[in-house]
Amino acid sequence: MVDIREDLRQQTQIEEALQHHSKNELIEMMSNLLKTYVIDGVRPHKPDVGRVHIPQTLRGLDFVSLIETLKFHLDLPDLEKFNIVDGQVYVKLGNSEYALDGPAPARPAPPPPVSAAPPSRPAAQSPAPTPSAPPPAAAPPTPAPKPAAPAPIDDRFRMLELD
Amino acid sequence: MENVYESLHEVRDHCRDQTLDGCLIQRTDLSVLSFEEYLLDRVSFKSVGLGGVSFHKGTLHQVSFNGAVLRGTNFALAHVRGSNFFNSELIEAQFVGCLLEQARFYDCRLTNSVFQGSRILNSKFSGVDLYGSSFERAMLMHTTFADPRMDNAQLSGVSFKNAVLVDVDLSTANLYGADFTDALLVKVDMRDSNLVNAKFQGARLLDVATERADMGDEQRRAIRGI
Repeated sequence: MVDIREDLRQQTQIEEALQHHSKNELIEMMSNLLKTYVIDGVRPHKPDVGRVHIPQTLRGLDFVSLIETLKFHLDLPDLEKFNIVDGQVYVKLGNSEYALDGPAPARPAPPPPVSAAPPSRPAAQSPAPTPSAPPPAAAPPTPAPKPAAPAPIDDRFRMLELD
Repeated sequence: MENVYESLHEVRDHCRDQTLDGCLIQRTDLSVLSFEEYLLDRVSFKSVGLGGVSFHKGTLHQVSFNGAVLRGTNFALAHVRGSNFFNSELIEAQFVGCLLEQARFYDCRLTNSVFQGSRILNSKFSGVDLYGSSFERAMLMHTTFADPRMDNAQLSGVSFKNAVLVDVDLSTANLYGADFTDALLVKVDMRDSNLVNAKFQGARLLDVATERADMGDEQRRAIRGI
């Protein structure tokens, strides 16, 4: 999509910058530009460089607009996990989609005890960490809910039960 | 093979009508000579002393300088085309008003060299030290500054005041304290460069990439135009 205001702004900036140059300098520049890129057909080193125009008002955007802008300008696969519906940002995790402002996704219930497990080890009796206890170091910061996956069993607590 | 000259007298004898062509000049000192308004065509200077020599208004076509001493050498208003500078010392060399086309600088010391008002087209600076050099009012087009060994071309303290840079690759360059005052930059890649203490007052930047560049708030505001 062509942003006509951005094009005009660029044109104005070029004109303003070239006002400092003499007639001879401008003639030389013009001849070199035409010779290099038009007559010789030289291709720019990096034609797409700087084409991602970050809006100057980026700081003023709300999160919905920011995601919209990023999705529009950037071709990153991770951004496809974000969808915007009715002014609400949704993030897709696995096969489920969650609203960022909605309730936290419910964690899947722990699987029923495995029949092969000894009866003296019910899963419900595993001591849960107290609220003041630090989180396990190996836990990922934001685990994605995987409804079909079994609940992870913390090795530390398994050792406690053996004691 | 071309003619090979190894003394000042041989070179003098073969300079006719201010023209020198198709020869290799090596292991001699020519610092007393002048090549003002000369035409040099397919000339190779290898380990030659040319410090302070004037190539003023000369035309250098497919000339190569390899291991040459060109300290303070004057290329003002010369037309240097398809020429190479390898492993040469060009400290304080003068390229004022020079037209450099398809010029290649490899592993050269160009500190405090002067490119004021020059036009640098389709050229490459690789592994060169340009500390303190001046490109004021110069026009640089389709030109690359790189350092494959050190990862960042040395352009700290370089002045690009009032310069016009079009299609220039300055990615990863060390531009610490560089001065872009009132310059026009179009399609310039400055990603991963060092822009700390660089000056951008009055500069116009169009399609300029500065992602991951190291810079302070002052440079960031100037680049964003706010």
